[in-house]
Amino acid sequence: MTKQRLETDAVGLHVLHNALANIAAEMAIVMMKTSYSTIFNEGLDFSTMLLDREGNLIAEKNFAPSMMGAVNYTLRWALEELGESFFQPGDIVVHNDPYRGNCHIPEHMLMKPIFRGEELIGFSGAIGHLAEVGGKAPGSFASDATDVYQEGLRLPPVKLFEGGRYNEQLWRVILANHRTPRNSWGDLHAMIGALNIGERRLLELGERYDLGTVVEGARKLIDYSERRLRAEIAELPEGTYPASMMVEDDGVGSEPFEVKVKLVIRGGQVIADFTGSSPQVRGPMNCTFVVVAAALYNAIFSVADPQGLIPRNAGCYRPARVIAPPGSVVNVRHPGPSVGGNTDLQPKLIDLLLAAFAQAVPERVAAASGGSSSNLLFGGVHPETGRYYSNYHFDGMGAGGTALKDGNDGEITRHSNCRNTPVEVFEHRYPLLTLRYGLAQDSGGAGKHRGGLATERCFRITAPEITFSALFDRLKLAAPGLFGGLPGGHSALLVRLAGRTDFQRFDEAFGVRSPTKFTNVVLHEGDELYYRCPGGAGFGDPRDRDPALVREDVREGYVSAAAARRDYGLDVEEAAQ
Amino acid sequence: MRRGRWVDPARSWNDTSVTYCQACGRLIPRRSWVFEGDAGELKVCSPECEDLYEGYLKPTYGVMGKDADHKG
Repeated sequence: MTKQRLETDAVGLHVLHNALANIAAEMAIVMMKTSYSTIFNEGLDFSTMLLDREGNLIAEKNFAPSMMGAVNYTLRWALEELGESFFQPGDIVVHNDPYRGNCHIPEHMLMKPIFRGEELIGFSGAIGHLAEVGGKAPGSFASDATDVYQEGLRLPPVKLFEGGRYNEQLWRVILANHRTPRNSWGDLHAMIGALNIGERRLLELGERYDLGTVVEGARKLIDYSERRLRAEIAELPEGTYPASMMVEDDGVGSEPFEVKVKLVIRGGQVIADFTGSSPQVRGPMNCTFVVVAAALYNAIFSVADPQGLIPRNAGCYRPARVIAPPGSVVNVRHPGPSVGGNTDLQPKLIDLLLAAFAQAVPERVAAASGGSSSNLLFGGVHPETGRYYSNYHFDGMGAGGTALKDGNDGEITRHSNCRNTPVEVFEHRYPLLTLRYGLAQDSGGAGKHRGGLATERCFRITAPEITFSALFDRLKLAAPGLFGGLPGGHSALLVRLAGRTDFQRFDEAFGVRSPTKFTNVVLHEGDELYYRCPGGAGFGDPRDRDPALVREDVREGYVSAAAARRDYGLDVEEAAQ
Repeated sequence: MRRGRWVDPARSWNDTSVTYCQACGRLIPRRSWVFEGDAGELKVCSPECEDLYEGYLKPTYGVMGKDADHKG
């Protein structure tokens, strides 16, 4: 191949950035197209990336921003702990240890060193939420777990492949501890395929241009992103902006806990100091350090680079500093559980940080989102195939209204970017019949700009039995409004047992402690389940909303006439006359 | 002017203990940056965390002792 010339000037760096970002995107498509589980091929709960030899991110396809902290830290910490010599040609390392840089037990980071000859030039990486990794509940989401060992199989950085060969002993352990080993095999190989494509394309890029120029250009891109983001942050009003929030419970007890933050903006840097937050809780609502870091990155990008114009690489993370006391809800210590911290505390941390930013730049933030991934887990033996299946399911909450517009409807959390699973796929894969699926009326908090509506879904069990677990939040404490906006709607999870006419809460029907955080409840054929995610909060006084928009909301069925009258002071029927 | 130095302790593969940065709270996977924090030596994850201590934590919360867990 004839080498092409690449200058590392502004134009050349732009070309290089697009080339690297496209490699990461192609890696993601490989994962999506070849994976077995719906959480990958429909939900897109994963990210792919290229990193330099020090573990610094140089390009990513960030389907799931919740993983940004792990992307920034996992490989760097593994390199620091194990040394560069640990990574040899043909190796693939897996890592899901929440105490060593990962988000929570289901998230698996796979890392492959890329060599040209004997020289290590970088890494390809993929991180994704495996749908089932063992532990006390199918779907590996034990909302009443009291330690990490109930959450699934924990892997420190260890080799899936060594010198290009399967590390069979490790694979045997993994496949023996996951309830759906066939899916784990397929999904892990989808990730491996992505790593191999990343490796091949990066080497091809080094052939097309000079490899040294590519490596040098990647370093310059990182510095460029840092300069750009620091410049954007420098435009924000300097100061210290405190905020706090209560979270309704931890899944084990019924008491609320508190998260506090002091957001310090100064000198082109943002410090998020979580000192004073509640001690680590007994249930799985604790966050790991990288989850908190991801929340901060997410909030900073929302405020300082909302259009995503700055190349996303390690440089973007440098202006952000997290202070998270170990042993608190924002930095779990071993052996504390953390599976819900990633899905249900992280989105609320972003909202909390935006509430702090609101004091500095009110025009750039959103009111609180539904803030819960509304995790529903189920598993059993499929009556048609005789095979054991398990699924991790989430659905769309409402996003908060902003200074400019209403919140998005049916968004699968502001930190995950995930997609829903279409009804057709859902019914084909699992013995569940969907009776209803749509937006929940009045679930968006009223405001000058209304909160987004949440989704609601009702389905019937068509197998002899299915085991369900759930981890929802916002049952008791709704998403708080901003600048006079009203709270979003609450979540709900109800069951109608076969033969009954009424829906009941799970604590009423089964005696579980929490109606939305429970594990291993068995439902039977004919039972029906109603599932509603929380809505987004409103932004600004509802009385300032354009009456024409309220009438349109009522006409579309987003807002009931009663709510229009109560919250917006508008009698829609009278106005129509 | 930073005053610290890197300390890289010998560590066995079967040592599962975890060390946290006394400034920011993040994991210290292996080597730590050690500096005099006015009330004893502090062990942090990087030179930047010495800056964080001097520039933010100490003015905000006062000096930290060497045995202090992260107090922020």
